[in-house]
Amino acid sequence: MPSGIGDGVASKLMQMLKHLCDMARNNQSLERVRHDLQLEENLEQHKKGWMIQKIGWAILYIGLILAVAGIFGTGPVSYKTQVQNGNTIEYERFLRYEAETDMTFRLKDVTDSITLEIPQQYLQYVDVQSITPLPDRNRTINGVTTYFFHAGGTADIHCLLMAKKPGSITTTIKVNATPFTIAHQIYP
Amino acid sequence: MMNPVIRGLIIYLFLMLVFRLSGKRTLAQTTPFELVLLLIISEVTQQALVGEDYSITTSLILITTLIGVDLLVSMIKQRWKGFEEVTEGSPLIVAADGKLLQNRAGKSRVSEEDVLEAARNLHGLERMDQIKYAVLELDGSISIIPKESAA
Repeated sequence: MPSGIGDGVASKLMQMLKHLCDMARNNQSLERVRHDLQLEENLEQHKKGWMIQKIGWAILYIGLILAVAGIFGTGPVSYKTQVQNGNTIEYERFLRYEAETDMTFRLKDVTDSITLEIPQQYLQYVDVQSITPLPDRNRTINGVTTYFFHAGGTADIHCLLMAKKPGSITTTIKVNATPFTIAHQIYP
Repeated sequence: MMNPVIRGLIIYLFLMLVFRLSGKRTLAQTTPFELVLLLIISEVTQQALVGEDYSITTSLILITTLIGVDLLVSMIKQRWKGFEEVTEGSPLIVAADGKLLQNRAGKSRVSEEDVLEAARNLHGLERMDQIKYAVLELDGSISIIPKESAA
């Protein structure tokens, strides 16, 4: 998300929170009751509780809006596309532990073969569940797993991934020597 | 995979926070829809707690964690009254002398209908003017004290 838009959203949210706080603070005159019941009415506590409740509701709804936007994965903010030398990678920036996600490579002008190089450091955080089409072979050398495919012209490679370790991971995946630097935030 | 004790703790604290923030009246009356909502919440919670690990060991650890935290919270409540008021609140009179206290009831999301329903259910009362006090209790229920003439 561009920082300008992010700042705008943040300031709007802050204004909303302030407005809710003001609303909660205002109109707090509660009826005083002289009663003979054996109960302790802590009116000040109730007033504070209602104010905190309103702020809590605002935070809950902000969380919901962020979730819909995809800040916790599966949403427009989460989906990323990178284009390098006519080749494209589509992936999700935010992942959730043990949740599945797709990563797609779209390649143009493939002459004969495709090599997909994934660092093993990346595979510690993300499990490759399946690759479509299946690679002809693979090998692991110096901490990089390389998958080889026979292809020509335009080709798509779909990887079904599952996050297996919470945390942040930034890595560079190479497709036919085109480097794509991708980052994931994996929520627990 | 995250340690089951930590998962149990996070879920317990999150549920406590969300239910406290949503107010006493939320899910206090179990209408059929709210019952279904509770079942869905419990199902979602169960998945987050257990994940793919269906071992007896994990179940025992989680049950011990939840009971242990609840015990600890109840001990803290007993020791510090302030903590109890923060986590559970305190009772609130929402109607007195046959009249709904609008500000109190409004802020607690209690309507005159709710008070009348409790009055009918608990004491067979017919009108607001037969109610001496209506109190919103800690568990979200409404208790009714009828006027002596109506009792």
